[in-house]
Amino acid sequence: MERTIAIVEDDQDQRQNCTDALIRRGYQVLAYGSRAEAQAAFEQQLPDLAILDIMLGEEQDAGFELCRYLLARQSGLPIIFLTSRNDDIDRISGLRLGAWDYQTKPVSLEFLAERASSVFRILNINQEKTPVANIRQIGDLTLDTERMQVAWQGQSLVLTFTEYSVLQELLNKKDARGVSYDELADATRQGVVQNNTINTHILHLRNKFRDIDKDFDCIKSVYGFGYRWVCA
Amino acid sequence: MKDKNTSIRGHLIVISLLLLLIPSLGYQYLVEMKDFLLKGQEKAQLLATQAIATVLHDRSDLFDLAENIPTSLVEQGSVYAYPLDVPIQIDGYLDDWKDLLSHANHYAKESVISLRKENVADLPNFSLLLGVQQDYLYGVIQVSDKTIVYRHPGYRRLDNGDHVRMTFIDSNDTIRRVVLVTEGPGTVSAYEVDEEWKYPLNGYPFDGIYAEWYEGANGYVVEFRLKQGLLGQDKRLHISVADVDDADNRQVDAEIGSLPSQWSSELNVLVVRSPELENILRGLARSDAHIWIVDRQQRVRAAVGGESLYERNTIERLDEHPVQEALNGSPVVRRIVQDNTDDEVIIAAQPILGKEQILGAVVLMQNTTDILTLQRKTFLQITLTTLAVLLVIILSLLGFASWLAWRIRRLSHEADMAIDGEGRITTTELSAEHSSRDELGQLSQRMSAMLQRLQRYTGFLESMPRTLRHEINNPLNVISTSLQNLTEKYPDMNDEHYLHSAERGIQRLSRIMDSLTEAASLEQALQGDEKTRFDLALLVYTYVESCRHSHPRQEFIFTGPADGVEIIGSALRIEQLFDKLMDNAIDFANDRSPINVQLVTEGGRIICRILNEGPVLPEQLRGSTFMSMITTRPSSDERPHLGMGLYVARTIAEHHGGQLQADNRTDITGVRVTLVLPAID
Repeated sequence: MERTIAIVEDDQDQRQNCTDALIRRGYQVLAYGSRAEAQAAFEQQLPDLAILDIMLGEEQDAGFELCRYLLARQSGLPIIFLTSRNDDIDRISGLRLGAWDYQTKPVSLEFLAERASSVFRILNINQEKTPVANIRQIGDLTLDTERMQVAWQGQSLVLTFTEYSVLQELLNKKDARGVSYDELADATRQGVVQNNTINTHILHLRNKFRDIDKDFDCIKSVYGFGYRWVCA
Repeated sequence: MKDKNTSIRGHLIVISLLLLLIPSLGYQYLVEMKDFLLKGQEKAQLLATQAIATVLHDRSDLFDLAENIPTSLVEQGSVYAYPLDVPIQIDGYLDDWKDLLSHANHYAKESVISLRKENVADLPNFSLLLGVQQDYLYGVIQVSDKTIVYRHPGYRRLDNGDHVRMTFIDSNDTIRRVVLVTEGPGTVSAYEVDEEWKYPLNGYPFDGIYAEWYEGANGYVVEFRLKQGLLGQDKRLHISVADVDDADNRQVDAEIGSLPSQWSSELNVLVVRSPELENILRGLARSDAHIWIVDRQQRVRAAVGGESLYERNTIERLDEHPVQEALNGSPVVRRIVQDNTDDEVIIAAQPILGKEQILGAVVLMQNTTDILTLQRKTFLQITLTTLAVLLVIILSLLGFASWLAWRIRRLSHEADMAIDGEGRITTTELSAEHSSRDELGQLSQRMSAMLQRLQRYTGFLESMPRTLRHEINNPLNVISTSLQNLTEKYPDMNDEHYLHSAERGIQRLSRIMDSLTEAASLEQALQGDEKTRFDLALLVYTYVESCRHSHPRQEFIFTGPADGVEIIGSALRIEQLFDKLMDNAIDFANDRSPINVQLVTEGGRIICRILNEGPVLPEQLRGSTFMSMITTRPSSDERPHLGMGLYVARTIAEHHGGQLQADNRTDITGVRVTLVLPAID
């Protein structure tokens, strides 16, 4: 089944490059240059995945508005944000819009395609409703590696792809010292990542755990190095 | 800040000194006022004299001028009878004449009438003083005579001793001759005698003359009193002294008269003050002025009024220059400064005109004391008032200046505070003077507006990195995705060298943008950070541990506690701070040299020092090490250096209430960075 990906990006060249890369991988791509154009199209038909630039033309928060619109139309619709500003990450998180992931520019097309395929894989799994075999239990943490879903003390957490990747990296590393910033940066699958960005991701992760369990303290900072998962 | 020489207050004080011109103007005004008043008084006096002169116009009768007397005789042969204000005792003692004695006329050999023989050894001389009181003419005759010969009663002739001869013309124009003679000191007998001065006309003493004889050291004194009614209208009187020196022959040896010898047959003209004139003047008398009437010979014929320049009763002639001028026919007014009291006296003189000649002059003398007193009083008053006003003005000016200066200082202080040491705007609304309606208020509002504009501009500058990042990241993304598409589309490209260098370029650009935005958005991000209590010692200890692993080529030495030093703040930010400091220390450290990290708690402060061996801080960077865009690193490094690291570090330190400073090590060549953070109380 051919999946439809909508790309909303005001820059003609980036839009074209993304479109090309995704078409090459066999997706049907619908590209729009403005919020109005995209929204008009979404009125007709919803895509399977929307990749949204946050700032469109003069509209600072056009991406967020589109996201709200789409989720209102169909909750659970996969949305990936493309941002050119680091502080947008905080805003996305703060807004709790329900986006599946966010990528900072310059974006790696390969990782973007990978994200897209992950999205569709999860969608397929969910649609097929096949029993899931690949579930890991680490202490209170339940990890569904197929669906990329996480639960803490039985309650599921909604994590973005990036947060999931960071968490997985933390769990996989059995080294006593933990995971270095560089390794975590690789896990986010983003080009250039500052320690600070990692810190932000970790902060968001912790907060999500603490929403469930306010005594959660399994992610320890190894100052000057990185982080360590300290629970069994 | 406050320069004494150029402060507003100083300027105002200097300017207010100009106010001192006001008293000087006042003084000028006073002087002119005095002059004006004096001129007024002069005019008034002149008018008064004119009025009096007009009254006396043509009244030659009042000046009792004898028409048939030669003028030269009148001029040289007049005897002035002074008005007497004390009762005179006819006793031969002169106490009651005291004030006038110096005015006595003196007669000696130039007035000789007859000599018995030439070369008389002791020629007598005498002085004569006349006075008038009510109806009587009083007189004192002081005779110097070495040998006094009294009358011998055995002779019928009266001239057998020293005696005084008195000649006058009575109201019937008859010449009368009276001899005053005595047999010893005491009351003198007066006899009317014949032309020869020898025998009395009748046996009775002359009624109307009373005299006393008193013997003195050099001779004798005859004091007499004569009824004025005896004298005719012309008041002609002559007195002579006959001297008898030989008691045996009793001949008159010499006779000396009261006229020069050439007029020995004439009589003196008696000049007395005119009661009629004085009566006329009395109505005009004022206590502060004195009016004189003088005749053509400048002799005082009447005097009324209060205090005068002269003792009015002892004066015969007014010799003042103005009087002379008035007698020449022109009204005169003068100011004369008295030698003894420095008082100024105004003298006005007006001629009194007769039908053919000038009869005399009216002289009005008035002291200017009143005006001077008024001037002094006004001067004092003006001085006090001016001083008080000046004091008030100067104090007000001072107060105003201080107030202004204070306001300006306050405004200036706040303006100073509006932009901090790093050039950040701390406020855009100056509260000082904001609601004042004057120029300072406007200035304050202008400055606020300026700050707002500056704030907008700063805001623009601050948002620049983020805008820039957005603007650059998009084309970067274009290049990056284009390259990726290129690789995917032509997988058999055999030389990937250019692709890789292009990717490296993109990565580097990305890093630059990252570090730029990190610094730019840091302050905003710090505000959103959650502050928790955490163990700084553990953080530092762990951090140094991590460094040992990640930088095996460097030696790290940590001194201090491994845990137990807690602070409140954001651990992640403090870690970020250490990232920057350690990066810096490692970058500048000599290869394989130790990097010392020390942590001590010291009186409420936590001090962390990071010391490295290596190049020292360049002198020109002293103090600005932690400013943004300041770097000493060579930029050929793999990673970009924009001088943002230490700026980020300082911003974090200050956000935690701490300080950061860098200086050169004193023990060895190297740099010491000191971080001071407040400990938990």
